[in-house]
Amino acid sequence: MSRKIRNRIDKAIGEQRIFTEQDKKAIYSKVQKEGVHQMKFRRKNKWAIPLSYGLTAALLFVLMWAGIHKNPPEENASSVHKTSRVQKTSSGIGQTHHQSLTQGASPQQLLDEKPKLNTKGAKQYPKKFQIVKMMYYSWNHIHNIQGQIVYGYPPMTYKGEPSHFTGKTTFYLDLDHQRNWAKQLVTNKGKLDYLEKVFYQNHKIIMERPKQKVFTELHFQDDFNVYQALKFDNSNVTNSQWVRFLEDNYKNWSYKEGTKLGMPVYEIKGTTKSEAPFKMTIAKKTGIVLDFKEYDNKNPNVLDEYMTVKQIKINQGIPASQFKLNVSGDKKQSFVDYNSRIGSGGLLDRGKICGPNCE
Amino acid sequence: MEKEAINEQTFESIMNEYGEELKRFILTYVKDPTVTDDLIQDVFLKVYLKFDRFEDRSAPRTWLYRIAINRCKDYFRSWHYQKVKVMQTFDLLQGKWERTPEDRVLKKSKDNELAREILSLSPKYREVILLYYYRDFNVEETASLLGLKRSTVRTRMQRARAQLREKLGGEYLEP
Repeated sequence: MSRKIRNRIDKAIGEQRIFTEQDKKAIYSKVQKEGVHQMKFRRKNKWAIPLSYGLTAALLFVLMWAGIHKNPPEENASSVHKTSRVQKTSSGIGQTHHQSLTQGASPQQLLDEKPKLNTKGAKQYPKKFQIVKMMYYSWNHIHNIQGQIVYGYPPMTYKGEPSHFTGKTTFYLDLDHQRNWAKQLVTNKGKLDYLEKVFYQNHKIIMERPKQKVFTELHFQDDFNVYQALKFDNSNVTNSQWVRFLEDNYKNWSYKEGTKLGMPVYEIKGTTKSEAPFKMTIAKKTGIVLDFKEYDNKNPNVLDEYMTVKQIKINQGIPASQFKLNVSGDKKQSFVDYNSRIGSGGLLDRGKICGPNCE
Repeated sequence: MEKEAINEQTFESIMNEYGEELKRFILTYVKDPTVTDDLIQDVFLKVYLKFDRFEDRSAPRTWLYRIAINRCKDYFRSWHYQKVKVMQTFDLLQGKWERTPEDRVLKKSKDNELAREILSLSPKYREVILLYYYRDFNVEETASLLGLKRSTVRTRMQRARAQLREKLGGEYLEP
């Protein structure tokens, strides 16, 4: 019986190997990154580390002693001033990001939580690769961003009913202080289906459904969840998954320069790997996505999905007062309850989320 | 005596021997190819880091599955799974992306109804079915891997089979 089940599942997954050399490469890279070799070194040479610490401390002491006695006290004082001046002049954009390191992970560190950028084709299409790279690393160019997005999907049948979902998201993202506030409103055939507000700050996310007067909150520390919380409801613009349409697909798209919402942009036009036509507008200086349209691969006149930015402000500052969410008077629910039982029978009912221990 | 850290040759041979079956198990358990890529990396990273703690009295395969199951459960507990998965249903609706998590895992095949239904079971039923029928662990081992009593594993297996019987009609799993 087991063999029969195994064969059926394996056949259904596909009989080609799924654990590939690429997996091994990624594993070795992770092993290197986690400093495992240091661990090995430490194990094999129990005394090497304490000894090297001792030697380093002794060396530092000698250098400090030599330094103090080489220069008169005034010169030492001025060298301190020199250092602080250098630090001061290097402030601004770089420093604010540096400050965020003290609060948690930097945007760059958080980007490590993102699926890696595919560099295939980078040599053959260097200019296009630069655009893709800019889009992938868009967070490195953002300190704060606020805007409004509208998006929609084609008419479809949902729960046996003809449906047509569209949405509007208003978001405020402050990467320097690692906080995110967003409001998402989803309509089905023009009727409100779902409204949610989300607020993330200091490793805590609060989600509220004001119509149902319920909320939930969750605390976490790990970079992966921080990354997810910061890009929540704004990722289509700030950290777009649509980079996947461009990377490793260079021959199927072209670009020209233009302007949108008062900024220089790249206007991209092409087809996806599944031969669906698409258009994308990307801000030239930041790599954020301002517009996206994808058409049916069988009927290029039918719009399959769209997203467009209506208003946007980048790096113009967001007042701290924006980052709050008052849930007093709402009923607190467990995270699972909040996500699995939506009174309105709304869109999220389909999620059927459930951890390993719930029915 | 302190156990040596794993050497590269042993590590490579463990990956060669178990990588494929572990990755297939993780894929069927979490039903997300992208997450599977990440989890299999984490599992082998842990193998590398914790090899000196591996006790010879447990079979290496069981030890590897224990690491994989724990890592998958961490993922199930993460709010990424709880929340972002829900939001992704938007994508699933379009039909452009794959329609359901099962579709993301299963290739098009006429013969995948049983596999689809197994993957559609809730995690607590899916895990026992996958370990017992797909990965050939016995009830005792399944219980130990999941940190459950044998009787709980049997009950869950019974319920899972009942659900499959209901969905598949005549075609269901024999005990």
